[in-house]
Amino acid sequence: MRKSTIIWLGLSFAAGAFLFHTTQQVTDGRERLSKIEKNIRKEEETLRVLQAEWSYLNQAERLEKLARQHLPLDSMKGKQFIRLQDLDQMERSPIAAEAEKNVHDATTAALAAGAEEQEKLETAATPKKTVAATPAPVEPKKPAALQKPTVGQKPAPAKKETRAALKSPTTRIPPAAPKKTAETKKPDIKKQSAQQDPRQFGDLMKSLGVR
Amino acid sequence: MNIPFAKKKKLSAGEVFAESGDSGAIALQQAKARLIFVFAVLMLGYLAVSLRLVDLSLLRAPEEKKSAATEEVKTLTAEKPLRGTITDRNGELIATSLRMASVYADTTLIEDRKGTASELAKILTAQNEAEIFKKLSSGKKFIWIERNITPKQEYAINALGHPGLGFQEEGRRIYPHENLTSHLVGYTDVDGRGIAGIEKSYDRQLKEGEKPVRLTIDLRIQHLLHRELSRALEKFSANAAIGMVMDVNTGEVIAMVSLPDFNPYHPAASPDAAKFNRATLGVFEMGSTFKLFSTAAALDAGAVNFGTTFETTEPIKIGRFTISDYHPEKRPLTVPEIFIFSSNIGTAKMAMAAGTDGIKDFYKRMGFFDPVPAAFPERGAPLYPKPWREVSTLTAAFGHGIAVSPLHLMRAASALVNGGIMVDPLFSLPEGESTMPLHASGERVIKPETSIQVRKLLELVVKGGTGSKAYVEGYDVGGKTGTAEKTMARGYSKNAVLSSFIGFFPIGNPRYAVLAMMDEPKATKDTYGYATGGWTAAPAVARVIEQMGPLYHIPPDMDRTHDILREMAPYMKNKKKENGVAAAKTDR
Repeated sequence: MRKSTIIWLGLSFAAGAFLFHTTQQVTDGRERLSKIEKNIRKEEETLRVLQAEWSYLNQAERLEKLARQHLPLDSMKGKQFIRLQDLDQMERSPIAAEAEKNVHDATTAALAAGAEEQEKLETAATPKKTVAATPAPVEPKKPAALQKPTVGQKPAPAKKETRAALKSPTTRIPPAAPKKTAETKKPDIKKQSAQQDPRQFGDLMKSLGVR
Repeated sequence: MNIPFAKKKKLSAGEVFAESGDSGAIALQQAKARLIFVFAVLMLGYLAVSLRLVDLSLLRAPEEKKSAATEEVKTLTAEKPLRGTITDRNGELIATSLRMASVYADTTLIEDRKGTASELAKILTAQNEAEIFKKLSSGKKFIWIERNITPKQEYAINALGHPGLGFQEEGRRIYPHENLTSHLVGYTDVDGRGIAGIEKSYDRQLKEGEKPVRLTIDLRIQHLLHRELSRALEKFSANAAIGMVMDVNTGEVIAMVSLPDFNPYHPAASPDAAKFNRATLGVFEMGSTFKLFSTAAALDAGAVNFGTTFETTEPIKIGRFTISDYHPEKRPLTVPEIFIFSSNIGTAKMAMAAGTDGIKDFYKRMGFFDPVPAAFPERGAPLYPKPWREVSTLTAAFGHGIAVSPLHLMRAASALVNGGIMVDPLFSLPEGESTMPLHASGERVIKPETSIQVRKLLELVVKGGTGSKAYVEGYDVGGKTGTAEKTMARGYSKNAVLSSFIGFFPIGNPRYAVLAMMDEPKATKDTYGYATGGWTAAPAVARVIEQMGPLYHIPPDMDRTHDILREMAPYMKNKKKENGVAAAKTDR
């Protein structure tokens, strides 16, 4: 066989292989595209359901009832308006001062409680040494007395914990198994979205008698 | 057989090579020429193919990409689009469609009916086994087992793998706010065609499903109005209640309520009386609120001014009619006095001063002889005397003998207070607009000076007349009460009345009109036995304004620069001016 024949053969084989590869890629791409499109449609559908649900939950009548139940507020009246220039001449009423003080006290108490709780979580969730090393830049509320500054420790691991805890304020980390909770922190997105079709749990659907 | 043939071929080949004479060389040359020819033809073919390839892949690439894209879009939208959404002016969802599967059965393909029924009953908890069994035993080729099931149920039924069961995806109309907007938004039939309200008037746009319909309605105000009317309806044991809030300058309908209402999911289950939209389709003899128009007509024509007095001592007798006052003052009254005491005799005389033609033309300009021009399907045609005689002028002056819809009343009254421009009621906002331009579709119907005079009269009614219950602290409200006796088989009834109040605020430079109407309210102990507009409807309007003002950031009048009572004092010779309750009692 001549050399050129071999080269041509080789080239044609390469071209064939390349063509096959491209075709395969296109097929794969198409499949992926249709999957993505299907997902988009599903997400759009979900959005629609959630929007309807949101609107249902925002029924003015319902909100009004909830506000009356849980808030000490009433709707605003026209006579409550005041002009800025009149503000100085207003006499400070003792009731307003009292209310202000109450709000202030409650806020301080809540902040203190929050800091304490945060501290508890911290100490429970991480080894002592690293906690002590944390300069705690993420939560300035932390009482200074509890910070024991030590030298030579890397603050990184504790930070991660804190961040995770801050991200999900509702998740309480059980003190018994700190390591494990840290590992299971990462939510399984796939699993969640598969389970949570809003049509399965919404109040709106319940009201329609669909569920 | 093969071998000799091969032999022969070889031989011939051998011949060619063996006999290397002249003939052999020629043959060789010939073969070569043929080969070149064939090669050239083939090469040309390949060249053509490669040129075409270059053309397609490089030169025409953008074009091809486009056609590829459109093909993709076609496959994407192969699914029928869902019916579009309806939102309020703030984008709050009022109606939407959700895709839901429905399961049907071809009963001819189902052999084990009992087994299938029990399997289905486990999945579809809304029905019991016997009900499903009955459907499966119907023998039909197509029967719905259940409409609008959840994806989970669909999966479970699919997993049964039964050939006789199938699914169909359907868009289901969802109204998250249920009864709140039922008359306004309307509803669709089973096939998703809008057959009432906005669903009907915007059917085409909604069907295309792409652009949402954004209404002028504000759900917050709609709720306020709905709540206050429901309370009043219950308190006064009324048959029905109507309410509306409208922007007087643009004609935008901010809220519209007609009670009783219905559940838009099951319109068929409601009685016709509940499905009837009284706010737009119902026409009523409005009573005293119409004095607004006859007074404005007389003022605008220059027939009267605030100082003109009319004798109201004697009832007017014309033909078989007698026009009298319920609480006669028995003295000459000025125009403002006639208005705030709502004197029928005085108003009729004022209308006579304006002339029958004058009143008729004015009412025509007010749009009282035609359906309201608006993009809303249920619009009532007014009833008015044909032919229009002199007596028609007298009765129409105080709102009897002519029946219009509450929407008519709102539109015309808005024109009287907004500076004199008639605007058409609007139900939807164009895309991207937060509000409509002022006086968009406007045509001037009264002079600006007349509009200012009307505002003064309206304010006087609330500050010192029949509408004192509409007083709101912080806001200057103007308005007019109305209490119309309902037409019975023989004449008018004294006890069955249609009480109403139409209010405007802030009256100095009006922005919103608020209407409340009660059909046959019954007097309570609180109202001292009165079921009039001033006692039943005015408080509801006051509460709506009281809550709506701060919500719309309307600053209250804090300076109190003008005192309408003092301003109008020269025209008021009234002895009981200081007695607000007494004035309210004269309301008719």
